[in-house]
Amino acid sequence: MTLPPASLGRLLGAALAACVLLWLPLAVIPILDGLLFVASLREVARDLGLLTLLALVPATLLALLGWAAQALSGALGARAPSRAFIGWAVTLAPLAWDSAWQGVRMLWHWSRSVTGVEASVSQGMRMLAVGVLLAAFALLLWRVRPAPLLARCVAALASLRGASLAVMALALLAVLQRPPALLWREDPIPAASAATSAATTAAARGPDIFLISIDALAAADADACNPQSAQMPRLAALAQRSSCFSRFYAASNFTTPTASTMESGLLPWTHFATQPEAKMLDTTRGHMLAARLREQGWRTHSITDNPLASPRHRGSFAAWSSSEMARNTLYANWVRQVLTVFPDTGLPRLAATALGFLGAFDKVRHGTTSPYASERSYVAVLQRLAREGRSAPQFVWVHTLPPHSPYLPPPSTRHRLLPPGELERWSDMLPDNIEYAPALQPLVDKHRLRYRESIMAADAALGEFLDELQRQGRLDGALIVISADHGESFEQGLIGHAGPRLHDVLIRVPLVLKLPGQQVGRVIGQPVSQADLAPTLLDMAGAPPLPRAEGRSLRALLEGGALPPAPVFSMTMERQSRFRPLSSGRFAVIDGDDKLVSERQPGAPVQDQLFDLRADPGEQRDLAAQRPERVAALRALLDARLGAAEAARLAAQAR
Amino acid sequence: MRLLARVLFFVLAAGPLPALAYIDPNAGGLLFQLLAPLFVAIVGGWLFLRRWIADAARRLWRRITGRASPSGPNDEVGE
Repeated sequence: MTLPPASLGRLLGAALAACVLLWLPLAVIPILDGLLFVASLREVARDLGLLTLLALVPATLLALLGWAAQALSGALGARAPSRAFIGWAVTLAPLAWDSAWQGVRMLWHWSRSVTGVEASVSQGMRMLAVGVLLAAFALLLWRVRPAPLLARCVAALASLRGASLAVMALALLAVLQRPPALLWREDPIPAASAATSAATTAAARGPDIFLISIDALAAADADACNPQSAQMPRLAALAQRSSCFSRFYAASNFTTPTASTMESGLLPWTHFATQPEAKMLDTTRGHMLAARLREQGWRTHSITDNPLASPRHRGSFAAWSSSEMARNTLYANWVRQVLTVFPDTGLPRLAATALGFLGAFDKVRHGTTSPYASERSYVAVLQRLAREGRSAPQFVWVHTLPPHSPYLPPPSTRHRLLPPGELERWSDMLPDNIEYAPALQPLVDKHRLRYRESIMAADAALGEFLDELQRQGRLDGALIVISADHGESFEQGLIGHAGPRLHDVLIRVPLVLKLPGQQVGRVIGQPVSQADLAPTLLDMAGAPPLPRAEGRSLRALLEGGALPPAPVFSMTMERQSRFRPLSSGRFAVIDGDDKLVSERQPGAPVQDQLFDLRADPGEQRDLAAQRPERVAALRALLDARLGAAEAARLAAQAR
Repeated sequence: MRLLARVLFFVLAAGPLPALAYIDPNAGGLLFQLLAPLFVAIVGGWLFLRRWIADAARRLWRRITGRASPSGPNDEVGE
């Protein structure tokens, strides 16, 4: 069998067939169940349709690459069979490589999910498996010879051209039945902005509000309320003239649910953005801090380098005058960021899965350097402020990734705590968000030192940003909030965040809140919730409250008064579908010094643990057996709130 | 040499990794357990049984119509 000439049309047809009928299904089938946890069948069909249509882009690029390669080889004197071989090989080899990997991954996950065997494969074993695969491939080439093998592949793909076009037509229908939103323009800036000075408008308008959230920043490591904080001296300095909350609890343990709570004042069991790629329930999307402020005349801007922290991701994009994705240097995230132009779809996740090989490429490419730098986000904020002028009050939520893993601080802070020679490269690090054996604790402790060095760098960047606001005369009169989405664990057998745990370092995060003109600082030790943030900001801005908020305004505490104590809730519900009764998850109730951790699984008895956070801040001694009456009281409180959340879920579903 | 080592490392380590390392614990459920073998069966059938299926279809066509299939055996691609 001989290869047909590598014309552009033939190359495109074959590449499209390979993309649509092999590569994309291999990538998507393993995550279909997860997609249906967070989106309806129609939405998933639309997203898959959109992904299929967009497969035209890589197919066209590969076809052009193959065509150019065969043309170049022709110009260099190659004969027709060689030219055809080069053209076809360049077009199809990348797809074959990624499809092979996706196929191996799918088979691996399938055998694991069917047998239930959780085998861990070391890096060495993984390399061995890849070596065996390459050897088998080499043997196949040796036996069959490359040209006939390629010719068979080309002939097979040619026979599928009609099928691939039929799939494209179906994909188009799936997209048309529920067209996606397109977000590629932002609100125009009001014409008077640039010409109006701060002095003339300051009294007439509300304050600028800057909400600065730092990803994966544990309160225990930031130590923000301590004037001698070693990690965050700049934040601690601001805290000296602000309200610093030492017991501020995140609503969950990773970005999607916590950022959604910060924006809506709703807890995860109500907004249901409880999986990494989930969006908030449609019925909660109008219930937003930014929407309220915008109605009152604020310009609202979200700037982040973490796709999961963007309103383009959680579905609240309509509330923002602009929602900008700050640059980071990961190719994998670049694809995700670009595709947030379709903000009500799951396309960023689907594309990131299909292009999973970029993650490995990014890791090798970065070596000793982190892909994230807080400065990029802060620069984007300053540029935004310069464009906006001063006539309208600004609400800016900037969310920056460092000190999120990989813990690769810049040279300015690296080696302050851990000497050179260890954990220098990304590939030296343990994988993110994994359980580890006790024997690895010394290594994990070293990761924590690099993490703290990363916090130091994040603090320095924050300090420079605050200095610039001061230089521009924007700092003193502004309402400044500095916090985090969630914490980071280097203890209790978990490194990173997410997953089913809710121990202190995962959910206790800093909160420093400076009111306009505030000069006197105070430390507040009362437990408060991330769900309190939106009601507080709206109250301080004089805007109407969010009617269904599950948090409350902290105004009284900020003004030196008192608030009656209230229980604080945190939860992780990654295995809870939004379409099924609320029955799965781990929930924490913090009431005074006590913390109840309640594990709920369908068909299993409820498992409760009780900790005394004052006597046992590391949560090492479960007191549930000694204090059953306290367990019963906190459990009844939790059951009542879960019942209300389930009623709200059913009502939302009925709408 | 350094470049070669990097390329080799990439080739060996380039298994698909989820961006930002978040794993959806709901991926790989019942639907996946059913669809994955079905997809493998369809692809395998297409790769290895195409000729047999095409021949069977042609025989059926001849039996129904009493005349030869419009496409001859040599039209089959990939064989």
